[in-house]
Amino acid sequence: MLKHFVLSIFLIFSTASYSYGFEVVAVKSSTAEPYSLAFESFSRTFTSAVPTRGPKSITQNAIITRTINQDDTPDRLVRQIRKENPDLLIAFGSKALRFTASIKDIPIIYLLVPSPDKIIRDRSNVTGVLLQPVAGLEFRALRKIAPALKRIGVVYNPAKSKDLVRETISNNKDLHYMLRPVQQPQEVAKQLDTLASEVDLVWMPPDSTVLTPHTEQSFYLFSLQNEVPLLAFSEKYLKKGASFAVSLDLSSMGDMAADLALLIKNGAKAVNIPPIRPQQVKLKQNSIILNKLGFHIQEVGQ
Amino acid sequence: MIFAKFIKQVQASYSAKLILIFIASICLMGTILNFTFIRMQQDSYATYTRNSGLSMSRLLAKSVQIDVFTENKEQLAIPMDALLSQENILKVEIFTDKGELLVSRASSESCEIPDLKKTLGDLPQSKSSFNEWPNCFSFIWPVLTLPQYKSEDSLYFDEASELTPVDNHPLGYVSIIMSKRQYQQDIQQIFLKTGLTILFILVLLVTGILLLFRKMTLPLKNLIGKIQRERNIGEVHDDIGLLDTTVTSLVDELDRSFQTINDLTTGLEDKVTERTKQLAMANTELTNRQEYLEESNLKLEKAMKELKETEGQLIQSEKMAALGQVVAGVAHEINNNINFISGALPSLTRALSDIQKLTKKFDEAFVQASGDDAEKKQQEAIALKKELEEDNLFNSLDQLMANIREGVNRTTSIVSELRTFSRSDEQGFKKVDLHDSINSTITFLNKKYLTDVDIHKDYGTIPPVSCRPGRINQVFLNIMNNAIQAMGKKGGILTISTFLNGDDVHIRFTDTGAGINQDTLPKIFDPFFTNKDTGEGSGIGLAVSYKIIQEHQGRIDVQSKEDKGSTFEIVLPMEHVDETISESKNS
Repeated sequence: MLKHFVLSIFLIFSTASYSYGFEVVAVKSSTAEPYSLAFESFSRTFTSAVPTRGPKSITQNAIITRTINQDDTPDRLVRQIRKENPDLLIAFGSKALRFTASIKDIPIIYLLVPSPDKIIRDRSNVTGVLLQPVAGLEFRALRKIAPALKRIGVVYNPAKSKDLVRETISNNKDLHYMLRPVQQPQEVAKQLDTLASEVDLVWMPPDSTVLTPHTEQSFYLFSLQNEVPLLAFSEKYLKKGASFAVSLDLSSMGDMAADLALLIKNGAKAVNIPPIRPQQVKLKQNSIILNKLGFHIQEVGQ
Repeated sequence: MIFAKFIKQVQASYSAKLILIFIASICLMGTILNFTFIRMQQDSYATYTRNSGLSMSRLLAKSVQIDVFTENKEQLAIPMDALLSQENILKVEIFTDKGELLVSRASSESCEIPDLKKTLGDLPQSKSSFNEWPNCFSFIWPVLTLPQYKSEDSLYFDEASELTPVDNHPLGYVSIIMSKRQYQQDIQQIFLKTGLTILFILVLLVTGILLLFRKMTLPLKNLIGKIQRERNIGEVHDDIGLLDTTVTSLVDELDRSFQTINDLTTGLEDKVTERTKQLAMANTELTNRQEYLEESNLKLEKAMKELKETEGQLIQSEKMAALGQVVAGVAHEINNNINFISGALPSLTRALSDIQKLTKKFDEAFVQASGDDAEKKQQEAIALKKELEEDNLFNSLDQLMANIREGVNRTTSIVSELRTFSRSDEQGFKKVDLHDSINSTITFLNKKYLTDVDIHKDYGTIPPVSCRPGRINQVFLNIMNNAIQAMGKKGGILTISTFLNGDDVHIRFTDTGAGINQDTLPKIFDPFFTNKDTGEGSGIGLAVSYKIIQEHQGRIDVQSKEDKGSTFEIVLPMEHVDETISESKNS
C-alpha cells in the first residue's frame, strides 16, 4: 500500500512542468534606448537582490522580456504572457501598460509612463514608478546654477497641467511665474509673444497641447529671438534648441522598480503599494545655446 | 549665267557632286541638330524654371508653416517681401486651407491669370501645381501640417517612430507668380548662342570637308587628267563616265591580253618541249666542243711546251752563235796577241842561243881556263860580247820581251773583258756599271764588219743599274752587231750615248747605216724576221733582246730612216722590282 502511495507521488512529480523560482515578464513599449537602460538597471538590481528561498529556491529566477512591435496587438501579447505564467509584469512605457490592461490577476509595475492614471483607471494590481519627479525639483536645481533667473514664463493648458503648475509654484514660491494658459496649440505662439521682455526663462511643461511639433518650434524661436533660456522637461529637447533640460535618472528609476518588485515578491499586494516618484533630478544644459544667449558656462556655474 | 556654269561644272565633276551632297547633308543635319539642341535646352530650361519655382514655393510653404498655422500675417509677410525683392517675382500669395486669401504681396507689374481660388479648388489635396500663362508662371505649394507626436511618451523620449503622420489636409497654400520675361530672354539667348555655335561648327565642318575632299579626290583628279592627256580628250563633261569608259576599255584590253596569254600558254608547252630538245642538242654539241677544246687545249699546251723548248733551243743557239762570235773575237784577239809572242820567239831563241854561247865563252874564259889560254879565251869572250852588242842583242832582247809582255798584257785584258762580258747571271739581278758592259761588249763585236766603223762613245753620268749583266751584254752585242752590219763595208759611225732621265737609264745606239724600211719597222722584233742575207742572221736576235729588256721592265725604242740610219734606245729602270714579290705584297 505504502509502495503504491510513494509511486503515485513520484508519478505526480514527474508530470510537473519546468518552473523558475520567480518569473518576471518585462514588456517594453519599443526598442527605444531609455526603456532598455531602465530595464538593464531593473534586471541587475532585481537579480542580485532576490533571495533564493522557499520551495522554488532550487531553481533559477527568470526575467523574460517582450518588446512590442508594430504588428503586435494587446490580445496576442496577453496570450504570450499567459503562456509564461509569470509572477510579475513590468511595463516599460505607456504602450506596454496599455497593452497589458486586460491582465488583472498578475501584479504589474509600470515604469516611464507619463500619465499612468489615464491607463490604470480602477485596476488594483498596478503600481509603479512615476515619470515626473516631485514638482518643482528642476527649479531648485536651476536656482543653484542660475540664481538670477527669477521670472518664469509658463504656457500651459490648464486642463492638462493645472496640478503640475500649481505644485511647482507652491514648491518654489520665491520665483515669479508669468502664466499663459492656452486651450489650443495655435494659441501657443501668440502667448509666447506676450512673454517677450517679461521673463528671464520660459518653462516648457510636459503638456501635449502646448508641446506639438508646430509649437515646439515656437518655443525655440522665442528663446533665440528674445534671448531667454528655455527649460525643457526632457533631455531630448536639448539638442533641438532648449537651454536647460531635466535629465531623468533611468538607472535610478530601474532600481526603484526593482524595489517594488521585491516587495511584491515578498508578498505585498500591489494595491497597497502607492506609486513612487524620483526624489531628485539632474539638470543638463546646452552650452552652445547658452553661449549664444549670453549665458556663459562660468556665469551658469555661479 | 554663273549659276548655269556652276551647275554644269557640278554635273561634270563627280567629286563636286559628292561635296555638294555632303555639305547639304551636313547643313541639314546641323539645322536639325540645332533645332533639336534648342528644343532640348528649351525643355531643360523650362524644367529648370519649373523646378526652381516649385522649390521656391516649397521652401516658402515650409518656412511659413507655423505662421500659417497661427495665421500670423505679420510674420507671413516677411518671407513674402523677401521673395518679392527678386526681379522676376510678380506676386506672392498665401491662402488658407479653404482657399481664402490670407496675405498677398505683389509688385508693380501684373499678370493676367485666372482666379487662383478656383485653381486651388481643382487642386488635389497636398499636391503642388505649376501653370504657364501667356506672360507668367504660377507655382502653388501646399503648406502641410507637421506630423504629431505619437504618444505622450514621445514627449519624453526619442522613440523609433515617435512621429505619427497626420492626414494630408493642408494648413494652407502658397502661390508664387513669376514673370516670363527673364525666361523668354534666356530662351532667346539659348536660341542665339546655340544657333551661332552650330553655325560656327558648320562653317568649320564645311571648310574641313572641302579641304579633305580636295585632298581625297586629288588622285581621282590626277587620274582623270592623265586619261585626258593620254587619250587627247579636251573638256570632260562627266568624269565618272570617262572613268567608266576608260575602265571598260581597259577591262576589254585586259580580256584580250588574257586571251592572248591563254593562246600563248597553249603553244608554250610545245615551244618549251622543242626548245628543250634544241637545248639538249646544243648541250651535247657544247659538250663535244668542250671535249674538242680540251683536246685542243692539251695539244696547244703540248705545242706551247714544244714551242718553249724550241724557243729555248733557239735562244740557246743564239746564245751559242753569240758565244761563237765572242769566241771568234777572243780567238782573233788572242791570236793577235800570241803573234806578238810567237813573232818574238825565233829572235828570242837566237838571242838566247847567243847568250848561251856568250855565257859558255865567259865560263870557259873566266872559270875553267887558266894561264894564257884563259886570257885568250877571255879576249875571245869579250870580242864575242862586243860583236853581240854591236848586233843589238840586248836591245832586241828588251824589245822582244816588251813585245811578249804586250802580248801577255793584251791577252790578260781580253780575258778580263771576256770575264766582264760573260759574267754569270745565276745570282740574279745585280748592280752593274753599264759603261763597263758596253765597253767589254765592243771588244767582242764582229770584227768582220768593224773595219770601217768608228765607234763614238758619248757616255753620260749614270748610276749602276740593277740587271742580269750576261743578258744585257747579249742585248748590247746584238744591237751593236746589227748596227755595224747595217753600215756594212761602207762604214760609218756608231754613236753610243748614255744618260739618266728620271729613274730610267737610257742607252742609245745610233748608226749611220742603211736604216730600216718603214713597212718592215714594226716587224723587227718578230722572231725569225730578218732582212739579212741567208746565213748572216737567224732573225731571233732582236726578238730575244726585246724579251730580255721586257724581263728587265724596260723597253726598246727604235727610230729609223731608210738610208739615214737607225737609233735603238734601250730604257732601263735603275732599280729592278721583283714582280713576283710585288704581286704577292699587293695581294
